[in-house]
Amino acid sequence: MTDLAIATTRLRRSFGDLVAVDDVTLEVPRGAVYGFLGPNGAGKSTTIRLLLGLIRPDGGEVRLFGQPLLTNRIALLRRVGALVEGPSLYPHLTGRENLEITRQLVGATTDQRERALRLVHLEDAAGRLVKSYSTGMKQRLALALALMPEPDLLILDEPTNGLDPAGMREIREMITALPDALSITVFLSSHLLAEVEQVATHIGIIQGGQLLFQGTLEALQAEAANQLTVEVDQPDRAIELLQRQGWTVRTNSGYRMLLNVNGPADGALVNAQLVRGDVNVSHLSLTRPTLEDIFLAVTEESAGS
Amino acid sequence: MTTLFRALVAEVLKLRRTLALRLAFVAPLVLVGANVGMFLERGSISAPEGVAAWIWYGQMNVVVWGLLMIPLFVTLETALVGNVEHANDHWKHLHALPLARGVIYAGKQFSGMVLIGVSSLALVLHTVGGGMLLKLLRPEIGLGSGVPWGRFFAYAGMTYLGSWLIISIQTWISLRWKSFVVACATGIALTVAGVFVIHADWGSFWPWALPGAVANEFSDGFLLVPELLFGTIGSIVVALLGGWDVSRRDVV
Repeated sequence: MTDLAIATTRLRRSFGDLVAVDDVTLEVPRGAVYGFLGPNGAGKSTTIRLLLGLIRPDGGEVRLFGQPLLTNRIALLRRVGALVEGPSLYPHLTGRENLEITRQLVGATTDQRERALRLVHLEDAAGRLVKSYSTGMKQRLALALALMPEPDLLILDEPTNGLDPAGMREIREMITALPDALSITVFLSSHLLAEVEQVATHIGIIQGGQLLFQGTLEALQAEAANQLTVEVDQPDRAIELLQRQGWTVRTNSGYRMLLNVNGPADGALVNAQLVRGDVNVSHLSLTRPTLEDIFLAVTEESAGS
Repeated sequence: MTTLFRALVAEVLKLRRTLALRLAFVAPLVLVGANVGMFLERGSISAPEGVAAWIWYGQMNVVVWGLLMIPLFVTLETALVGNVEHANDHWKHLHALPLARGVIYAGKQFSGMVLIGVSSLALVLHTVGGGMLLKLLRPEIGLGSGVPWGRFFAYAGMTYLGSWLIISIQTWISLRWKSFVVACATGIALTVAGVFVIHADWGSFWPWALPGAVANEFSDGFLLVPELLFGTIGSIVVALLGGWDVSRRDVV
């Protein structure tokens, strides 16, 4: 039995001259919350459509739970719940009726339908027409649609799109709880980095259809350099001294300099070198980069190359 | 078979509170209401000699139903049924479910057939109800006690059968193209063409004129067997082609 819920091999898909997904090899371990990051138009939604068999690849292969999607589509989709680009709901029906339609189609039980409503805290509003729902409630109902058949894999495309901060937090808390509560693997695409950072165990970064990074969140953070902020009384002399020692130095105000370092030991070393050079240090702080910093660094580096 | 039945149940559920479902009852009512109003005002139904009043009254309803209302109604119903999915881009959700895509298409095809079947039944009931009202308010019209139920059901049924080919064609168009306008414009244009084409030797084989041609035989009691066979077999062929075409397309 494979340990991967999703494995793609050199996946490729074009629309005319536009290569939307280019040689993408994804590996999503079972039980992971995989954050699939990329700016708008990076190829996230096309990749998700490929994973669900909504479109066919020009090249490469999609495997879910070790089996090829192309030849096992229906059997594999029984194990998958999906929310693709916003909720697909019938506004003239109630929340429960919306679930009932999918229940009929997938052959789920009424118990599963009610359980899904409880999971997303919509049991009290289930009798109301969906057109009266708030954006957050619609998103939760769409999540209930995906969760109702009790899938092993949940694929969510921008699930917090259009939500206010409270709605975002609610969806985020639900997603975070899923792997433990229901043993579900979550594949989550988003362009909201802070959102992904709070829920993901694994990260994939895509830009221009190409996968730029894939690994655990810790591995990504370890790859990125920490940033040391230093304030001194003689910036010109400090820059000259540090550059002579091999540091790359940037300044972002008159007395403040920024250096990429590996950790606290480098901070101490920089301080010692400056003091030995008769430069007074008034501020020294080490900052761990946010996912946003790392994402920008990875994507800018790719755009530049 | 169970999956197909579940798909049909799901489609019928989607019709709740829709204009499409209301129209299934309202459209025949409008037609019968207009005829009843006209006969009430005239005080006569001008039946040709030797033709019973109930038969001629039935002919007046069934012919307009078959020639104009059914093709236009099918056009509108199938466009509305298709639009239920297009409006909120439901295809990506439906096609990500563990179902053969053909099953979803078949559910749509059958729900269209159920809707038109329901309205055909409603036509019979409205027609008889309108006749009873006429008999009560204008006894001089001559609608007696012998309601030709058998003829009403037989011709409503055959007209319905004659509409299957339009249902298949319009279902394909309405699911294939996202725009409501494409399905409506095609159906309306070809229905209007049918009003003229029906006079040609081959006119009764024109899909949009076929139900009208069948209904036109109501007072004589003739059966257009070749036309009905053509329509039934043609509808199955078109439904299979439509299902194949729509199912193989990418959901982008």
